[in-house]
Amino acid sequence: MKRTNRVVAVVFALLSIGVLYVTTTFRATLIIDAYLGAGFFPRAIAVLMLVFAVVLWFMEPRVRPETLTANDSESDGEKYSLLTDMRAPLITTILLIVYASALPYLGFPFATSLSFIALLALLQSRVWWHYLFAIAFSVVLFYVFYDLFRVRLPRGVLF
Amino acid sequence: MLALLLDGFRVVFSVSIFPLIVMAVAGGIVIGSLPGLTATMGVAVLLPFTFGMESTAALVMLVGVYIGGIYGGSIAAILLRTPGTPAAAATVMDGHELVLKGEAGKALSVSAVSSFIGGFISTIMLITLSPMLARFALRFSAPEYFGLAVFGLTIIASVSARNLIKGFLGGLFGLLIATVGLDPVTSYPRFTFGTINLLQGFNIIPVLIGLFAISEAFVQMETLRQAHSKVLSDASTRRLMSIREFIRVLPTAIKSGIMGTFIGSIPGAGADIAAFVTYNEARRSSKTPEKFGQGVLEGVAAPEAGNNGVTGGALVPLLTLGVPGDAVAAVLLGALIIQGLAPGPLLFARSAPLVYGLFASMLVANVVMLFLGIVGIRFYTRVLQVPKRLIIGIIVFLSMVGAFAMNNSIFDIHVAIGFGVIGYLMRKVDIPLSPIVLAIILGPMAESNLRRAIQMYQGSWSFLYTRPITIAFLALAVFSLVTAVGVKRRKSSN
Repeated sequence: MKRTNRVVAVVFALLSIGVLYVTTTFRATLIIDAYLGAGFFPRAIAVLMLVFAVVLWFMEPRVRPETLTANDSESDGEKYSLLTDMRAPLITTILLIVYASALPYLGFPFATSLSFIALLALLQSRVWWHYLFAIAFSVVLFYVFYDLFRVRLPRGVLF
Repeated sequence: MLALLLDGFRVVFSVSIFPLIVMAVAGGIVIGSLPGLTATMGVAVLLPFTFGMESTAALVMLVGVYIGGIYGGSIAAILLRTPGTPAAAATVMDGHELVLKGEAGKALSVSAVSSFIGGFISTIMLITLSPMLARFALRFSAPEYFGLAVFGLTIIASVSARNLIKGFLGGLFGLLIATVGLDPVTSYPRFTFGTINLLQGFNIIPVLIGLFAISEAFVQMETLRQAHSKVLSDASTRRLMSIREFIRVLPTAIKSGIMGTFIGSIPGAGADIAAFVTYNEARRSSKTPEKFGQGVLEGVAAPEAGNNGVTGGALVPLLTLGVPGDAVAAVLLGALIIQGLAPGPLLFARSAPLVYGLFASMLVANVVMLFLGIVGIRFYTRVLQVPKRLIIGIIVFLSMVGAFAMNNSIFDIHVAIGFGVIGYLMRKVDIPLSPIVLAIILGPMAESNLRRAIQMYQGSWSFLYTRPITIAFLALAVFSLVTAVGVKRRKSSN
């Protein structure tokens, strides 16, 4: 956990330094804003972030497994260690980026059916009706949102 | 007043109006439970359909969708760890933990009952205390809003039970995200890197969907490989809360409903803020605050009563002053104007039957919501029986639609994916997600009002110790922070 904390501390420290740098490029505007300006708030946040990152770097993890609680089941270190298999989430992320980029061209029902089927294959589903469900779900979802909720989901250029 | 209210009930229970309320509340629950479709959106979508309707019927429908929508958000939050609306983000913390313990029915029944209590109290307060609440809300200016935002942000400490420093880092990250886009005071573009998509900043809906829903799908993918992955559904999951448990959560629900009404009456402070503030207060005043977040019923009762408390509170400034308290109230203002009515002090004098018809319909809509909520639990919990692989796909692609729906924007889908990855990595390294969401909601309020207050006081910070409401909020913030740190220390030493 100590190593993880240090990695987190470095990431946040780098982020805060980046923010501090970007705020120095903010130009003054014609609107008079006491003495604060557009960079004041992000700069204050970045400084605080840097301070907390340094504290985290030097902090010894003291949490014993039996005191694990709570809110933090959402971040339960035991269950989700940093090194567990991240392949499926990684491939899904790529799949979703491709899906979002193809959506305007393929249209929602087709792109969603294809991607849902690909996701089920990735998750090694061997039940045939899961694939049928994926197609039906995509089509029904399209019509519910398009006709009922007036959400202009992309119809695509092919159909 | 009572005679007018009775007349209102007579109208509401007429053959032409009552079915509309039932349909509107049911529709609102469906809309609220779908990630990305908010109560505001539901009311806005319905608005054009009411143009040709009679005034009472039109308002009754819109208010029914509003009340159903705010409650509906909790269903997906509890069952799928995917808040249907931003107002349900606080419900995730304990609601889903209860599901993991096999107590989905209890969580859903507490949510329905608490939502009813919050909504009902709020409507009663709207009917009886409107002028007083409006005067209270009118005393809010930039320094008071800043105080409220700071108080809200201290909740980060209480929702970061395991590692306070990481909770604060998450909160600061959220605040940073909230600064993206045009500066609220000078309109200078910040961190937009030349793209027009970021000029308005990140929309809260895709961010919320990414952080909670998509990251949850990623985590579920990992547990697919674990042989001991939990079975979430058996007969016990449908068991509702007992009478004893009801009596236990009742004080929390009543207190949160009252707090939610006050928060709702303040223009700009919506159901999402109310949910977090009431959750924090329930935790602070609990005898066992360390159990919050592990799946306690009060952790569901407080945010649900709080966010439904806003439904009546938000109408206070609208009906008494003509000032919409939140986005839904703004849509309702539009509906009133379309119907030829002018909200404000004269509305009660000129259109009393309509106003009291609206009040009666809100009371009835809350009862309908309770009924549909309790009856529906049997059906909602069936979600837990759906095979995990399908659930993952459903969460992922509902998230895609939800992210797109608010602005019809492909860019928002990319935002949701990006925040899904961020949320997943944050969970991996033990950073809680709630502080990020809280900070994104409260960040703009804190920044713009701090700067406006300094401008109001010509560069001085004296507003921090000269305005009673601001002092009260800042004192509450310090108290909340000290309590949270104390609880954490007690827990570490045990």
